[in-house]
Amino acid sequence: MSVVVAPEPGAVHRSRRAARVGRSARRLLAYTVLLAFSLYIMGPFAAIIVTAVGQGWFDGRWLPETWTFKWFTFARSLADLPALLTNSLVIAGLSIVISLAVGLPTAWALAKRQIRARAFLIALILLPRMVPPITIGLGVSREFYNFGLVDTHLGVAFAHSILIIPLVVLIMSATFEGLDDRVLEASRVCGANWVYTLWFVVRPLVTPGLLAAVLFGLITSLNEFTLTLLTYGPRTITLTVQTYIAIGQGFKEVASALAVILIIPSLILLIMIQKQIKPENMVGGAKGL
Amino acid sequence: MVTTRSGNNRVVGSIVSVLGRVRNTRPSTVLFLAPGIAYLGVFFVYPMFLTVQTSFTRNNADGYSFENYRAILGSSYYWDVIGLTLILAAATTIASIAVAVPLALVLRRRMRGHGLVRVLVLAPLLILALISALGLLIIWSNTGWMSKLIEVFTGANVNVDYTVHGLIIFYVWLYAPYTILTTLAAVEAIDPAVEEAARIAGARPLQVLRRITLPLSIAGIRAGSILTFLLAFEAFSIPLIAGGNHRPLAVVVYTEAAVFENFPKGSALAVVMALIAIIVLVAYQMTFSGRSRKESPA
Repeated sequence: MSVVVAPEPGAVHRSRRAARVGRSARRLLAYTVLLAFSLYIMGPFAAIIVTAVGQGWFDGRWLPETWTFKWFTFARSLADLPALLTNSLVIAGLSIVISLAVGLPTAWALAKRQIRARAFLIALILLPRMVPPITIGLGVSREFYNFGLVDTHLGVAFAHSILIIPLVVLIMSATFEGLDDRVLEASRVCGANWVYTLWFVVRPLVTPGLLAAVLFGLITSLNEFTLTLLTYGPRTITLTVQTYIAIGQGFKEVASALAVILIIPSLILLIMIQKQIKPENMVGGAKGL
Repeated sequence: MVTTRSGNNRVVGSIVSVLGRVRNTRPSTVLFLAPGIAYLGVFFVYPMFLTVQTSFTRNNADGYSFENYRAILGSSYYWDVIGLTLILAAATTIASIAVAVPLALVLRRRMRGHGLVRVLVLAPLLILALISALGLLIIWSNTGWMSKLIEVFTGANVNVDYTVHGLIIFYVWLYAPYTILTTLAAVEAIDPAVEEAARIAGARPLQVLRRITLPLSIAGIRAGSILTFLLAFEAFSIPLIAGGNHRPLAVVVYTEAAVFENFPKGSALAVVMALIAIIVLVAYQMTFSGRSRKESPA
C-alpha cells in the first residue's frame, strides 16, 4: 500500500529554476577564476611589452604618454645580440649533445638490463637535481678554474649538462621501457645487425621521447642562471646573464626591450611543446621526484 | 708504448670484470653505465667534494678547521637568513596550494578556453625566470597595474618593492605551476562516480569537496608542494634582483663567495643549505612514501 506523493507542480518548477540559477552562478565563478588566473599569468609579460614601447610611464598612469621604438635601438647598442644568441645556442647545443651521449647508454641499461642496485643508481643519477645548484656551482667554478674551463663554451655546456643528464635519463629510460623486446628480437631474427636495428627499428620508435628530452635540455640550458653565472666570462655571456646585467643597471625600458627580443625563442618553444608533450610530464623532471 | 696500452687494456678489463662480478651484471651493462658514472664523478661528486673541502679551510690560514661552521652557527645573522629562507619557502608552498586547488577544480570541468589556460600554466616554467621577474617587478611596483588595481578595489596602498611579501608573490607566480600541474593530474584522475555517489547520499557540495575530492587528490597536491618548496628554498636569481635587503641563503652564499671573496665561508653556507634541502627531501620521502602507496594502489 505504497503511496506515491507527487510534489506540487510549482515546487518542481521552483527547484529547477534554482538549480539553473545555481549552475549559471557556478559557471560565472569558474570563468572568473580562469580569467583572473590568465590575467595574473599574462600581466608581467604585458607590462614588459608596454614598457618596451612606451615613453613617459610615470606618476601612476595606467598607460604611457607616448609610444616609441627607441628602447630597442638602445638595447641593440647595449648588447651584441647576435653574439648573445650564438653563445646561448652553441652552449645549449653542446650541452644537449653531451647529455645525450652520457644519458642514452645509462637510460638503455636502466630500462633493458638487469641491475641489482637499480633504485640506488637512479637516486644517484637524480642527486644533482636535488642539491641546490649554488652548492654544485661553487665547486664547479673551483674545478673549472683549475682546469681552464671557465669562460669556454664547452665549460658552460659541461656545467649545464650536470642538470640535463638526469632529465635525459628519466625521459629516455621511460621511453626505452616502452620499447617491445619482441620487435628487437624480430629484427635480429630477420638478419639485421645491431646498427641497422638501432637506426631503422629503435630510432623511429623512440623519436617522440628523444624530442622531448632535447626540448627539455634546450629549456634547461637557456634558462640556467646559477651555474652560468659561476662559470661564464666575457666571451660566453648568454641571454640569461645579459638580462641579469640589464636589470641590474636599472634601465627598466631597455631591459624590457631586451626581454621582448629574448622572449621569442621561449615562446616558440612553448608553442612547440604544447603540441608535443603532456604538461604533467614536465613536473617529474624538475626535481627528479 | 704497446705494452702500456695493453697494460691499460688489462687494467680496464679487470676493473670491468670486477665491477661486473660485484654487481652480478653483464660486463656490457657496466660499459653502458660507465659514461654516466664517470660524468657524475667528474662533474658532480668532485665539485661537491671541493665545496665541502673548501668549507673547512680559511682564506688567510693553512690547514682545516670548523671555524666557518662555528662562525655560521654562532651568529644570529645566519640563523635569521636560514629562518627567512624557510619562511619564504613555506609561505610560497601554502599560497601555491591555495592557488592550485581552486584552479584545478575549475580546469577539470574542461570548459571552453580551458586549453589556453593549461598552456598558460606552463609559461612560468618555460620563460626565462629573469624576464618574468622583470615583468613582475614592473607590474607590482608602487605605480604598477597590480598595485593600482588593489588600490582601486580596496583602497589599500600595498608596497611590495624589496619586501618579504613581495618575494612571496614573485615566488608563487614562478613556482606554483608545479603544484598546479600535479594537483590537476590528481584531481582529473578521480572517478566522478565517487563524488556522484557522495552527492546522491546527501552530501552538500562543500562536504563532497572536504570528504571526497581533497582526500583523493592530497597525494598530487603533496608531490607538487615538495617541488615548489624546494625550488623556493633554492631560489637565487629572483631574490638577487628583487630581494633588496632580504637575502635568502642562495644569495648570501653567492655574496659571501663571489662578492666578499670569502670562498671558504660561502662554501660552508652552501653545505649547510644542501644539508637542509636533503633533510627536507628525505623527511618527505620517509613520511609519505609508504602512505601514498597505501592511498593509491598504482
